[in-house]
Amino acid sequence: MIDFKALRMDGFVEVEGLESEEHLIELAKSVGRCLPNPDGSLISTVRANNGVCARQGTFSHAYGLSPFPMHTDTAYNSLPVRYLVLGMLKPSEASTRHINIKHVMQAAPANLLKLARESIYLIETFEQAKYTSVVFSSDGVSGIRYDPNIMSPANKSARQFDLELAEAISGAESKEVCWRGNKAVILDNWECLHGRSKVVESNREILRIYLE
Amino acid sequence: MSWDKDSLLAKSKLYFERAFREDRADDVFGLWCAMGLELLSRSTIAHFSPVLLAEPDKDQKNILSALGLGSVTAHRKSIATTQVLNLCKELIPNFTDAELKIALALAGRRNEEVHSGVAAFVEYKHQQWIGGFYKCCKILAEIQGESLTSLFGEEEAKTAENIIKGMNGELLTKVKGLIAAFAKVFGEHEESDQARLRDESKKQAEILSHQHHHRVTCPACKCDATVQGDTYGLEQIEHKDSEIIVRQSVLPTKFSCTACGMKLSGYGELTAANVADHFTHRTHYSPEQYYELVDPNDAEAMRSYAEDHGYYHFSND
Repeated sequence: MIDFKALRMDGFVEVEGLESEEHLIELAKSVGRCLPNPDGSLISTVRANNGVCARQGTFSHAYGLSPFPMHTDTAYNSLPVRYLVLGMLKPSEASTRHINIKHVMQAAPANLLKLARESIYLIETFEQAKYTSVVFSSDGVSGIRYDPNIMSPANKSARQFDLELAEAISGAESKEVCWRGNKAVILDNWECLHGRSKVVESNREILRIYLE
Repeated sequence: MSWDKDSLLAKSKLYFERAFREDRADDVFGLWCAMGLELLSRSTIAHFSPVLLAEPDKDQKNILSALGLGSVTAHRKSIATTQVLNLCKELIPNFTDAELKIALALAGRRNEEVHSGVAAFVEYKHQQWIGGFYKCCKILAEIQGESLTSLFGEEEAKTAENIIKGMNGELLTKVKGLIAAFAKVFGEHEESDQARLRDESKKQAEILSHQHHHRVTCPACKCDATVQGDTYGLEQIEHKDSEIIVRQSVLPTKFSCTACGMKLSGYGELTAANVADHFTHRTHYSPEQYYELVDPNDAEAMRSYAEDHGYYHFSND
């Protein structure tokens, strides 16, 4: 059962007892509409790798098996995906860290939110480069996009925001998901940053579904 | 090709930031403003639907691109700026003919600037377009849930709002009447008196021009007059070998002519009288003055510094 109240309040919820890929899809569908991959499938299997063969601009290319910095997913979309459903059937020693950035910003001095609103970043992927804002909104709901792997500050406010956000994050407590097997995690991608710890095993695979 | 509202709006903000870093009297200021306004008008149309930005084509590839379908890297064709601005007029009730006219004029100047050898923004005076430009920005920002503050930042937005308030048709009639009245009175003076007043006002304007006044021609008597105003925007600091020059833009708010006695107050009145070109204050400092350096060997200066800054001055003399 998904604790929807916790998901709404914390932007995050863990679900134990994940049985299969079909079960993960079922969980995802109970939260929102699944965004299919270009081949029509709903689940992506993300394999940790050393980055040698990874596409330029991806986390694996930049960090390989080292820890991934905190980020939101699909920051390059004009409207990033709302929820991220992650699942692992087998255990993994590498954990997922996450932090509710909206809560961090609410607790930080008011200036941080002002800076976020004034910040403009340049997003560069292998497909295109474009400008974007950190704060966005859709149908009255606002969200944060932040991916230091592809976003670089384009104005003075963004340069300052980068420094102050790093400071605010380092002073706040992040939570850790330990993958002991048969577990799913649902993250509000408009509120939470997530990252991965160092990977030591050779065949770590995580299942991922994006929700609208 | 990215025609989504977010990226177009972010880019327009960036262009406005670049504009406001420039000296207002510089032609580059006008160019950045014009390009920022063009992006803002496109983000406005994307707010209604990015599909409206796609140039119609028989294979509908441009529309696919606007919908975020098909290849991201393919170069697609968007509609011309004239069409974008006409769509703004069609879709936004308070984007009237007046706003369309000024936005088209700025787009035309931008075109001339980048497509020809003409110094398009040198001959297109700041006061001719700045009020209309700010009004266009306000309307286009507000229709997409933004504001002048979120677009320009607090200080620039305040200046823009003041300038917009000054744009008033009744004021124009009042100021034109005032100019005609002062011109008539001045014309009734003896020619020798007119020459004397012209001569005196020229000398006075020369003196005042070194005291943060800006010299202009009086619209009533055509003698030398001056305007003063309020500084706004970023200070531009230039370090030279032996001096530091600080420049800051000035929004003119007071006009005074010593020859005919006409006085005007407020940016709106000055705009109506055609004497509202923004100008720049230049202040020259020595490095010692600018950084408030104190020679440690100068006992008097050190004592005065200590007193000014609340330090206890110890002496065992």
